[in-house]
Amino acid sequence: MPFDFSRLLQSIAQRARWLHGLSVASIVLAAASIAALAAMIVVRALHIPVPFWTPITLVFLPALLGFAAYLFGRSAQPRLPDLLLLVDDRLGLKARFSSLYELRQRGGTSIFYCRIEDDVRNAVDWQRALPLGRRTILGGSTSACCIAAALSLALLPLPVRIATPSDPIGYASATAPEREFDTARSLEPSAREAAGLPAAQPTIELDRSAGTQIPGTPNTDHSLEDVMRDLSGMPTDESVIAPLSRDEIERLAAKQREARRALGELLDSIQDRLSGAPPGQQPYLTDHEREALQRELDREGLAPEMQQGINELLNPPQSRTVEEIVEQLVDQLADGEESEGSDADGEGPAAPQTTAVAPSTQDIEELLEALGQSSSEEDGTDTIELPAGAGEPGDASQSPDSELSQMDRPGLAGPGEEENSDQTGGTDGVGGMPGLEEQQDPGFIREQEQANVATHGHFVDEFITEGVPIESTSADDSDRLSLQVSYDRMLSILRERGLPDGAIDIVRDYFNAITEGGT
Amino acid sequence: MITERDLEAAQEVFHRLASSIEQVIVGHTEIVRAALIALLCKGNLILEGVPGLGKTLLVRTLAASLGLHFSRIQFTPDLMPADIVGTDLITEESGHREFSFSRGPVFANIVLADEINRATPKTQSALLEAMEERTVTVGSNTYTLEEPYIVLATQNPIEMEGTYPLPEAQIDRFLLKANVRFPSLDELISIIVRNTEGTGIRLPEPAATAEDILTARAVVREIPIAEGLREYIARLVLATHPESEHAPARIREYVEYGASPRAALALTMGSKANAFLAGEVNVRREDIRDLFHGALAHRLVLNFKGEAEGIPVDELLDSIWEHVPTHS
Repeated sequence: MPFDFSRLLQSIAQRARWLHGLSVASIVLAAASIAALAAMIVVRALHIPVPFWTPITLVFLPALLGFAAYLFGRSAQPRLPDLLLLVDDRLGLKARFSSLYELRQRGGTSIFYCRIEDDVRNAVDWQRALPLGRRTILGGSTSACCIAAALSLALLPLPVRIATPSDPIGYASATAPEREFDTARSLEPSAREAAGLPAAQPTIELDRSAGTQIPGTPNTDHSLEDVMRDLSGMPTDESVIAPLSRDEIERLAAKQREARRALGELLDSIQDRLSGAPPGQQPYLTDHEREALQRELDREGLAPEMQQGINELLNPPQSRTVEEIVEQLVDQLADGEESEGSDADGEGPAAPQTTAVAPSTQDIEELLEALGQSSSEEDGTDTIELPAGAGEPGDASQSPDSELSQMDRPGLAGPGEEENSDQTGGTDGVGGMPGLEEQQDPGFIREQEQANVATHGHFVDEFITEGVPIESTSADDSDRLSLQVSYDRMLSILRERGLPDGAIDIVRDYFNAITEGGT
Repeated sequence: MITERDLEAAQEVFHRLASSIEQVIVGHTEIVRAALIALLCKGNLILEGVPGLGKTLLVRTLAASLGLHFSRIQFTPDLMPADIVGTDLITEESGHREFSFSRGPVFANIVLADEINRATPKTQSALLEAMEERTVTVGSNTYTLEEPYIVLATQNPIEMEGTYPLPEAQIDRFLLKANVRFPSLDELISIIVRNTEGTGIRLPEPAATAEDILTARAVVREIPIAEGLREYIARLVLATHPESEHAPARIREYVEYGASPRAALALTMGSKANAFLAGEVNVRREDIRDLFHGALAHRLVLNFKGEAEGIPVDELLDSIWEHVPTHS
């Protein structure tokens, strides 16, 4: 086979370009992959919420840059004299190769041409002279490791930002099922019922059925991601409130007040008639009154407790008389109006009125009321005010940037909201976590007591982590008591239960947020 | 046009020539090679060494081996230029007087300028034209020297009193400078035997003709040198200049002036001749390395600091060799 020096030169040049491209690409790829890995680590370490496409981008961007660098490096034309001299040196050809190229450039008529060509013909194993450089291999290896590590991190669940309608980018980037899920969550019970909308199933039941562990119960399998998933799966107040404007909320609140006023007038008339009835006559409802009660029952905005009471009035049990039921309804109505009166002092729209308070908790309610007044003056860290089951109404605008702080606010809208608890489970004080008591959740203790804590109004249905001792001690003022909970002790108990630190922080942040900085 | 036969013949002649010289000169292989390289490259050679090392004998042996016209000039402080190049003399013939040019010893094929540094610079400069242009100008007449022509000079590095170091312009005209080292024990014993037994030293018979030398010179010029190696030589020479970007730190510190472009020519041609003498068909990096010191050492001018500290030029050259990359 004739010796084709031109073809050989072409092959060498191509391999040199290929190697140069790889060399440049390895440098760029290594730098980019290291940067990507660093970014991924930062995202993971700092729990920075990022759009879902960010990990994929961080992994594939170095590859794209590396490919571009390869094309750029390959486009550079190698300098043949230097390249051939390099081949000579590496193959020990005593500069034969480059000398042959030199003679060829002169026309190849020298007497030395044939001699050198004979020497080169069988000696050229030029691919051995142009191997992959160590720098290229090192860069490639580094890149591969970094990309693999970044990919591993990318495959792990990232703190993805919760898509909400108010976040156009994140919401738009969310998949359709995610949006549907969010929408379903946004139609959660307490807020919907408080707003007079059809109730849905409690959110927490979804979490429970999914096997997630309630914080406070020992479960080492409950990872940070699980907690975050639970939290992110809960309806945010933003997602709940967003469909309802402030005007709508005020309008609904007005409807509720109107319903209570109408019901009050009706009950007063019934009471007047019953009181004017001759003695010995069995109390009864006239058809007109029944029709009026039925209308009130169908009226929008009436609390479920009141609806239950009306139903009971329409179909009185044998154990109770119509007069007793009417009297109870009037009392409930009066209690609700008092709560509304206290809420009216706060900011923002009025929340649904609380009327259903267990009579057996009246003394504890008073105790908590006294506690709230004393603790608001002390503002100590060891004396923990029981977590408010309802946040301060009307504070939605105070921390708009805090996602957690905006979660489930309709469900926590005010002290009067526990009237929805029978149907929605909202009595846990967390609007997005109804139904806890009904399922006898071992992770929480329900405190039915109502407290009036400082300016935050009435706090009811508190949840305190099970196992954390609460001590009732005398405050400075001897006639008032305060409930004291050792924060450090509570934290150590939580840690003993194997909860990840991050989960504890998240849960604490969550409750801090929903209680507007309270306990 | 050089033919294959010319190449083979030239290589054969110089192989024979080297063997002939080695029969007389004990050791000094590098010196003999340097002399042959200078002959092949149309250059001149300066030999530096203490007295008695055989410098003059080497030159005489080379001249005898070549069968060329040889002349020797013993440089002394009172030597005049006319004593070298010749002079016009008034001659009278048949009562008619006229000037006739009497050729000096420079008119030869091989000129031995013995202890050249003992003559005054004026006399030393008389050789400049002959060494470079191969011509001699006396009065208004210019005479061309016969090829092959080579000046082989010697100088003594000791006994510097009363000597005149060669000016840069002249020393730059020497293709190579060879340091004649003292012979080793075996070499010294051989020298004793050859000079004290038998008939003593006998100069060899001519092994080549002038035509053979000219043919070999043409062959040497045809030997290819790769472009990469040419650039390498250029970088090496540039590195001798302290202001050059290629210069290592020691050159910047100790060198006043670097080598001239003649150094690059000398290195290139010398490498070709070295490859030819080695039987190679192209210049290799080894050829450049072999000639590197010889072609550059006498062309570097040290600055005051370098002179004061006695920095050896060879060390500076070594630093250049290590510093300059083989590939651009």
